Amino acid sequence: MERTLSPSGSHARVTGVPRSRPLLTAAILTALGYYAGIQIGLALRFTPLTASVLWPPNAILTAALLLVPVRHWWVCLLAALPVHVLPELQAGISPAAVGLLFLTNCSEALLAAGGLRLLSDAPSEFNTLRRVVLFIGVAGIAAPVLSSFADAAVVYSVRGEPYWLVWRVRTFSNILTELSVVPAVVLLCTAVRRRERPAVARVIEALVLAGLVTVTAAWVFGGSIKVAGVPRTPTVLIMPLLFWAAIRFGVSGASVSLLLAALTASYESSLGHRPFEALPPMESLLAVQMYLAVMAVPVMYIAGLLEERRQAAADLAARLRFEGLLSAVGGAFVRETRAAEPSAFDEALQRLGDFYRLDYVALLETQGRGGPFEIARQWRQPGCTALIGARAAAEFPWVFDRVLQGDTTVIESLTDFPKSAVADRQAFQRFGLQTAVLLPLVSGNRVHGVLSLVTLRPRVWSATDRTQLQLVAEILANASARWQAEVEVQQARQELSHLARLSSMGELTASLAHQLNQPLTGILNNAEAARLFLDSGHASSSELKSILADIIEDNQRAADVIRRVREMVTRTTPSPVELDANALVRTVATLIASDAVMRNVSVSFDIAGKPLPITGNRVDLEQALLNVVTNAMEAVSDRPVAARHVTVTTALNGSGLVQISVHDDGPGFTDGAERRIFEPFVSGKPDGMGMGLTVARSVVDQHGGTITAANHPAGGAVVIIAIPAVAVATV
Amino acid sequence: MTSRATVFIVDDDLSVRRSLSRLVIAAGYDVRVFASAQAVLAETDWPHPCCLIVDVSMPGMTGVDLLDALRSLRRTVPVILSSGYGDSATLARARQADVLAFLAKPFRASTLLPLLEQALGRRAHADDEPGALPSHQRLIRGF
Repeated sequence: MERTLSPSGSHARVTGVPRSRPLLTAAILTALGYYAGIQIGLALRFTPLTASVLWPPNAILTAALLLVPVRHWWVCLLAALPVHVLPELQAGISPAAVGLLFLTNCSEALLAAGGLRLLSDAPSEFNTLRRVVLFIGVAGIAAPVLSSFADAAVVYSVRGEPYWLVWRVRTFSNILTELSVVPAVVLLCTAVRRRERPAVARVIEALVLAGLVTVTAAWVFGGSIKVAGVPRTPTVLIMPLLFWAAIRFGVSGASVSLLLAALTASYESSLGHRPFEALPPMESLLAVQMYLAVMAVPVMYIAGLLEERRQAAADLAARLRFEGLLSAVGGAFVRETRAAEPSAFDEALQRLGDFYRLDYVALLETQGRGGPFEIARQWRQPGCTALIGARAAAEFPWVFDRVLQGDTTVIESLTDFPKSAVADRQAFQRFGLQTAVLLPLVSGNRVHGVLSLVTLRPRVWSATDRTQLQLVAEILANASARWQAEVEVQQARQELSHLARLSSMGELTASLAHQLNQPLTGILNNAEAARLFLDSGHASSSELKSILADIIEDNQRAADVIRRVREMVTRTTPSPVELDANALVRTVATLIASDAVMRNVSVSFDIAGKPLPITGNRVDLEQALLNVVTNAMEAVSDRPVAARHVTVTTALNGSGLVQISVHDDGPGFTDGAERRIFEPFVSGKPDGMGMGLTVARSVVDQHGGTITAANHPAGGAVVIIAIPAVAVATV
Repeated sequence: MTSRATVFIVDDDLSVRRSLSRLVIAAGYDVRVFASAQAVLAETDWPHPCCLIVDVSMPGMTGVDLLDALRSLRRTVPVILSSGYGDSATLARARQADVLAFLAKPFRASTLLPLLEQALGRRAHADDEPGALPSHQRLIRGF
C-alpha cells in the first residue's frame, strides 16, 4: 500500500506511469478496513435502531481517500461497495436502504477528504495547529453532521425510525469515529510507508497506555471494575490518560486512545453497564459518546499544538544542524588555499554524505560548454561499491539532460522516470540505486557541474531537504567555478611559460648554434686530420687514439647542449622537488656562457659556500633566472666593452629566504621603471617580446617567492629573486 | 735559415684549437695556437710565411677587433676568419673585412687547405729536408 500513497506535502514529483499493483493493494486494504469497520459497527447496534453507536467504515474510507491521490479515489470507493452491501444485506437491511446508506456513507468520506484537500496544506498530516483545527472542523464535525441529515432521511423513509434520534446517534458516533479513527489510520500508513521503526521503549509505553485507557474506560464508563468505597466513578478520570496520549504520542496517540475508550464504552453498554444510571442504556451510551466527542476536540487541539511546537523545535534543531553543515562546507573553501581545493571538495562531499546518510555522492564537471560531465570528486560510504565504473552521464541520459537544462531532479522510485527514460531506469536498477538527487551547479547562467547524491536504501527527500540542497549546491557551484577558473589560469600560465621558453630559445639560438658548432668543428677537424695522417702513411696509433678521444668528448659536449635545449623546450608539468639554488645558478651559467661571450659581457658568479635548498620546478626556475640574467646582459649592451659586467650572487638571508641577486652595470632605472619591468610586453629591446621578466615573476610567484628590481647603490640595477628556503635540520 | 710556413690558430675553444692544429699539422704546416686575440698581439716572433685562422666570437676582443689591431700595427698577414655563429653586426664587419676568406664552422679540410696553400704557397713539404721528422710529429710535442 505504501507505494500508492502520495508523499506528504505533495511536492512536485516526476509524473509516473499508473501503478497497477499498488492500486490493487490500496483497493484490498480499503476493502479489508471497511469490512472490519462494518463488523464492529454492526456489533454495536442497539436494536431497533439501524444506526450504530460506533460506525468506523466511514472514517476508514475517509482515511483511504486522504491517502490516495484524488484521481484514484474511485478505486477505494469501488472496493468498499461489495464489502458494504453484502454484510448489510445479510443483516437483513433492505437492498434499497443498503444502496442509499452506501451513498450517504460515501458522501461523508467525500465531504471530509474533499474539504480537507481543498483547505489544508497537508491533508494527511496533523502536526500543526492549523491542520488539526481544519481536520476537527471539516472531517470531525462538518462531514458527519451534514451527511447525517441524508442518512437519517434514508433510515426514516425506508424504516420509519425517528428522524432526529437517528440523526443524533449517527452524528455523534461518526464525529467520534472520524476523530478517533482517521488520524490513527493515516499516520500508521504513513509510518509504514516511510519504514519508520519506533524505539522499543516507545512501543512499551504505548502498550501500557493502551492497557490503562482500556481498563480505565471499562471502569469509568461501565462500572464493571468496582473500587471499594467509591460509589460512582467520575468519568473525568479518563482525561489524564487522554492528555498523556496527546502529550507523548501526539494526534495519533490521542485518536487511538479515544477509539479505545469509545470501543470499550460501547462494549460495556452492550453488556448493560452504564455510567449515567439515571438514563436508559441507549441514552447513557449516547451521553458517553457525546462526552468523548466533546472531550476529543480539546485533546486533539492540544495534541496538534504540542506537535507543532515539537515540530518547530525539531525543525530548528535540524536547521541549526544544517547551518552547521553549510558553514563547515563553506568554511572549507574559504579556509583552504587553492592548492588544497580538491581536499576541500572531498571534505564537503563527505560532510554531505554523513549529514544526509548517503551511500554515494559525486561532483561532476563539464569541460567546456555543454561538454560531457565527468566525475571530478566523489565520496562513498565505506564499503559501498555502488556506481564503481559507472559512466555517469552516459548511463543516465534523461537525468543529465534535465539537469543540464538547470532542473533539479529527484528520483525516489523507478516510477519517477518517464516511459521514455528506458536507459536511465535500467541503469538505476542495475546499480541497485533506491533514490537519487541531482542538482545543477550553475554559474554565470551556465550549468558547469552536477552534484549527485545517491542512496541505496529508500528515503523520502522532503521539501526542506530540497531547499537545503539548493543552498549546498550554490556553495559548491561557486567553489567549483572558482576552482575551474584556477585550473584554467594554471594551464594558461603553463602555456605562457612554455611560449616564453620557446621565445627565449629563439633569442638563445645564436648562442646555441655557437655552442653546437664548437664541438662539431672539433669533430670534423679531428676526423679530417686523422684521414690526412692515414693517407700520409705516418699515422701513429697513439695519435689516432688521442684524436678519437677528442672526438668522443666533443660529441658528448654536443649531446649535452641538445639535452639542455630539449629540457628547456619540453613542456613540463610542475613537480616540485628539492633543489640547490647554487646548482640552478651554475646551470644558468653554462646556458648563458656563450651568449655572454657574443655580447662581450663578463658575467661573474659569487656562489654561496653552503648549499641553498629550495623546493620547486627546476626548469621553470632556471628559465626565470635565465630571463633575469639575459635581461641584465641586455642592460649593459650599450656600455663600453670593459664596463659590461653582470654579477650573480647567491646567499641565504636572515629571514630564511634564499636570495639570487643579479646586478648589472647598466644605466639602472629611471622614472620608476623598476615597477613596470615585470609587466607583460614592457621591453627594453626593439625585437623583444617583453615577456621575459613577466614569466620570471610568474614562476617566482608560484614558488611562493618575490622578485624585486631596484637601483643598486653602487650603480646599475639589481634584480633580487627571494624564495623561501627549505628548513634544514640544524645540528 | 728558411723559416717554415706557419699557421697561427686563434680560438678560445680548446677543442677547436686541438683539432684544427692537428688538421693543419697533418697538412704539413707548422702551427702556433693562441687562446685569445690579446695573446696574438703579444706575440713578438712572427715567422714568414705566416697565416692566421681567427675565430670571430671570442670573449674580450673579437676576431674582427684583432684584425683591426693588426692593421693598425701594419702587420700584413693573410687572415682567414671563422665563426660558429655571431651577432649580425659582427658578421657583417667580418664579411667586409679585407680577409682571405670567411669560413662558417664547421668547415671541411677541402675548403681550408686550398686557402692555406693560396696564402702560404706550396712550400710546406718542399722545404722538408731529407731525414727530417714529419713536421706534424715535431710539432705535436708542442702540445
